[in-house]
Amino acid sequence: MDRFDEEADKVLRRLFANLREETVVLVRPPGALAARRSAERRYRDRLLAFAGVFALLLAGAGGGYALTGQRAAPAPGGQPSASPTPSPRSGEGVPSLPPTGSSASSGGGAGASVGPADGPVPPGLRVESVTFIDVDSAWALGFAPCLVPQQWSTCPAVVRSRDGGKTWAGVPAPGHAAAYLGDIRFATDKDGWVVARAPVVPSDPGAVTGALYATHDGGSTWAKVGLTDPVLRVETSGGRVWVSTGTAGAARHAIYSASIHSDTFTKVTDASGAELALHGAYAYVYGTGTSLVVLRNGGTTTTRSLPCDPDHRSTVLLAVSADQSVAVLCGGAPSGGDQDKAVFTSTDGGATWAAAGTPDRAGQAASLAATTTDIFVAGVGMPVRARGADGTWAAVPLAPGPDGGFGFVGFTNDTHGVALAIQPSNGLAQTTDGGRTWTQRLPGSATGS
Amino acid sequence: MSESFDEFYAAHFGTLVAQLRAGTGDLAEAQDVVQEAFCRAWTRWDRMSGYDDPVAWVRRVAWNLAVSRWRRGRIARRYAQRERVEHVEGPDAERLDLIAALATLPTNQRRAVTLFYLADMSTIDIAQDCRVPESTVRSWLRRGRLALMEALGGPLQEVDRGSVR
Repeated sequence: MDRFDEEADKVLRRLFANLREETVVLVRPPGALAARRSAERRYRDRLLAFAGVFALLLAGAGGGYALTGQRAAPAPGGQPSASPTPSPRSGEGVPSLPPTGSSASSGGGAGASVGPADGPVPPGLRVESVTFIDVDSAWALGFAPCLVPQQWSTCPAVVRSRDGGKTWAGVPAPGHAAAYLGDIRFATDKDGWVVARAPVVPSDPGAVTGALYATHDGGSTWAKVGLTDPVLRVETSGGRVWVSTGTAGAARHAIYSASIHSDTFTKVTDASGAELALHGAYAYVYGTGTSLVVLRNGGTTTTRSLPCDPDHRSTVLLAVSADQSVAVLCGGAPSGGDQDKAVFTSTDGGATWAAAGTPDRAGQAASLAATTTDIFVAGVGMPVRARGADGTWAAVPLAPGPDGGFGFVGFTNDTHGVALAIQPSNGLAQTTDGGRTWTQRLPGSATGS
Repeated sequence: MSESFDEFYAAHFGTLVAQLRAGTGDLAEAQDVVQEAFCRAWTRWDRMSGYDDPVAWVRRVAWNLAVSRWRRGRIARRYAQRERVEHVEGPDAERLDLIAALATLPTNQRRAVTLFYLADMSTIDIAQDCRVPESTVRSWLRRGRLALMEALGGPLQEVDRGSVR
């Protein structure tokens, strides 16, 4: 290819990737079941037509005898009976539950492990959120084409891993609803939450917005938690679960908290931001602007200020590595895929801040993570970048897909972390050595790099 | 057997619709022909499930269905075009521009470009799929790229400025 071809190729790859992405979301598959039934109906119709023609030929050849004096013999292929509608089988759809009225424990399976029996990973799964409670136990929330016919085409899906993300299995997803964008968090192998922030296709009849679902039996059953306002974020730490409510982009939000074993939420405070970052008994509430509300032991409130100057408040991301060790990324307005980024750290819960460098301008930051030694930034159109102990920023050896990037990076401890690709084909990537090396993994696949 | 068909359907329906949407310019039409192709695949699934690439079979059937529907509808479209009131479209999303630009390509070029960019097929695979020499596919791709970039205008200007990295 000459230079024009190469440049045209790049532009067209981006445009076609966008077209594919959009179409896959918009498409409403009538379903494999519908395809099979339609094919079987046509086969029966053909047999009947053949039988009719055969009968007419017989009548023509033998006069009126066959038609007037005798009942016609059964047609080849059997009677034209309507085949019974097969019941959906367990493997026929994205794992999902009918609406549940309570969070009563079902007792789960008979095996030693907590939670529902493993099912298949839904084909076409796109992971939106992932959570690890330790280096082995993980859950991921996403969506996949519905195989059981619904009024909507894409259904929510949850997959679980018990081996640190090497293999995944499908488990029930909360809500009899169309696919939604949201987050999944687990505090223990029994207690978990899913927030359905916004529907993937707003016009779907099964669309839900701002719903919080909770499980206390490892995901066997999920119940919707009754909160007045729409839920935006959910995070858990220190034996408590925290949620922020309100409308995205609004000036005021409410922060609620509950014990991880209870669905009774108590309002803790109002805040201008709805973003949550937790560690131990500390909860940090922030959003756009510089307000930082620090909540300690579920109640004591301190208001701090973030060090983002007016030109660097378009994107504000916070990560906590210890109770009072906080990192913040202040991002400027994106321009042509680039964005000015400045990172600061605090070791006193946000009372004072120190500059921690400026990651490369390329890409738009979407997620920040911190360990006791390193800081990681993920985003759109950029590799994951890390600031090491020597204070310099560099890309980690984890390449994003074309026009892609990573929407989330997080660490379970100082060594074990995960990055979630924006391009669904890239799935999630994991590190077990503090970000020095990464392994690409897809839910359902045991292959690594 | 139905489980493997269902998984096959779920894994490929969306991406095939995206490819046929690029080929036909119409999402509903694309869904129809892909669903029809899957219907036909089910009737021979016992054999097809052993194919190296059953997706290629479904794709080819869907393309053929789309082409024959397009031929059947051509006369009706000619009449409708004579009768319709022309509306000038305002600025639109890149996606709509791309679909409109694709519609200006000859069928062979559109198919080659679509298979190359949406089905991630190599020129050799496209040549086998279309039953033409690979050099023909390369020619289709080059002409298709040129025509698309001319039709798209905006991205072409970016290329000229050298701002596309």
